[in-house]
Amino acid sequence: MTEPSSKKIRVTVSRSDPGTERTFLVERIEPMMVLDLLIAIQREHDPSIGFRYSCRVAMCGTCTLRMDGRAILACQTPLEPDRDKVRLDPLAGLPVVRDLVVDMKPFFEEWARVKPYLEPVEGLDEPARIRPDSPERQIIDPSLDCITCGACYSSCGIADHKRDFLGPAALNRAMLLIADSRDAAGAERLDAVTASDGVDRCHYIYGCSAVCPKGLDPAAAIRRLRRWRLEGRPR
Amino acid sequence: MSTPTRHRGGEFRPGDRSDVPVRPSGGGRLFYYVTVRVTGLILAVLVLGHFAVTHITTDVAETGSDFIARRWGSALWLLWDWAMLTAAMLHGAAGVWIAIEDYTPDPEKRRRRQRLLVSASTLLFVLGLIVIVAAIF
Amino acid sequence: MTLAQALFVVALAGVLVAVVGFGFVMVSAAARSGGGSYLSTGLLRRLQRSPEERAEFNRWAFYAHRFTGFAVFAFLCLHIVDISLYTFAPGAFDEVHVLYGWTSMRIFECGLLFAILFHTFNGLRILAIDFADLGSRASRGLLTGAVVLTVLLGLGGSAVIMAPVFA
Repeated sequence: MTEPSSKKIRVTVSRSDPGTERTFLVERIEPMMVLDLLIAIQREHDPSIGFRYSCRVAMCGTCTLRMDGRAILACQTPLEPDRDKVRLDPLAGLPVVRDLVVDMKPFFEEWARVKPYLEPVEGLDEPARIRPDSPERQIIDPSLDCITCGACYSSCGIADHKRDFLGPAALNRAMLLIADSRDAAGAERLDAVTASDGVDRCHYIYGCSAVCPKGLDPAAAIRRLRRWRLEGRPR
Repeated sequence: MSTPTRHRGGEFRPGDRSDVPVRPSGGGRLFYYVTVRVTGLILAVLVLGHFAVTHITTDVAETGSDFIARRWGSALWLLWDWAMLTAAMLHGAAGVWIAIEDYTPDPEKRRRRQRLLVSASTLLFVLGLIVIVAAIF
Repeated sequence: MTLAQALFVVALAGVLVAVVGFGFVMVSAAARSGGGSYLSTGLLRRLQRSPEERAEFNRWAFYAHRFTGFAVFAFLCLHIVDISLYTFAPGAFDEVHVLYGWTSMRIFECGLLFAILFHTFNGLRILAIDFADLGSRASRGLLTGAVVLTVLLGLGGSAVIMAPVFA
């Protein structure tokens, strides 16, 4: 059960309107998620603060923002008990709509570019199964749970709406579809991810894998794509 | 994104949707990837060796024109320095090309800077080549 | 100071200005859309506590790699020109070469050595990441190795370069 504590935390929030309040002294509860903090600011300090959230359980990917520069899901990131200040910013690399809200359209444009859905091969058995113990599944399963939250895109440092780079999420999705034996678009997908906006714009920063709230590993997916470029697709 | 919608008639592009702009695919990427790594590996040996010979085994104050004349009397060092020049200009220019791409969002400015990079690198490479060829005779 | 020497000093100053300028470009791009954790006192504590935060070392390695690469390339451009004096104006070459023995130049050469060493060893680390499919933790281990090698060989080399100053 959450208990009110007399401790306060100093919060600095990136605001679009220079006339609005940036710093707040917010009373802590224990435990306290970043989202709790934002809701407290909205209710008790400044109702005009702009931020997004929806499911509150790390399923929808809506509440992504940066805490001290690091991309997180606000709903599932606790504030450490001994933390007395925090800085919140919108995701990096995307146009800011207001305060902590960003326009995710550039992210989803890159997502769309790799055709992020299965295009079934002709003449498959119905249902088209891949055995759980197959090598394919070992590659696909760990990469499946992307909630398109954009944390990896923000953490990358190269992915940006002003640059032509597919970004870690799109590349991860492309990888698992290329690995899927039921998918017919593998060759074209591999071409798309090895083009000038694909794997070669990755600079081995590992920011993507470090921040993924679902524990996905886009960096490993990109390394795998580079190998497939040289060795050919798994088939 | 500012690139206009563009389809290359008939050619399948994954994710082709009329509202998502299609990017022209660049051919040179694999060339860049392989070149940077192969030249890098070569340079790891050649440059560290070059620095050792000109600064460590000999004091740098004694590497004047006599020192060079002696070194370039041997075919090994001429070959070494030619390989180092070629690899270094390729490797360095490729690296700076990518940095320009990352830091110049405007396509026109970017192309201009990259053209400048290629011109300057080529000129310097030719200059170095002339020096080495002249030393053969 | 002869004309050739003065021109060399001016050109070297130009190279340093270009390198510092490039550093500013990198820092401002990183501040704007770098995506990394902000440098702050809290960061040191967080680095100790969580392995995910320690992945940031890979990001700093990338910045250092790009910066040292640009610095060495900028110097290389000058170096090709000053070596070419050997072919076109050997007298001028020897005049310029006297400068290489000056204390301030020796210090510059030590800095160049550190840049070359880090860029080389970090470059080999990247090759290892490609060949051995290394994740964040393994790559950070290699980064430690690269930094240790850079510091050890750099200090050793600098000692040799600076020794004549104190002889």
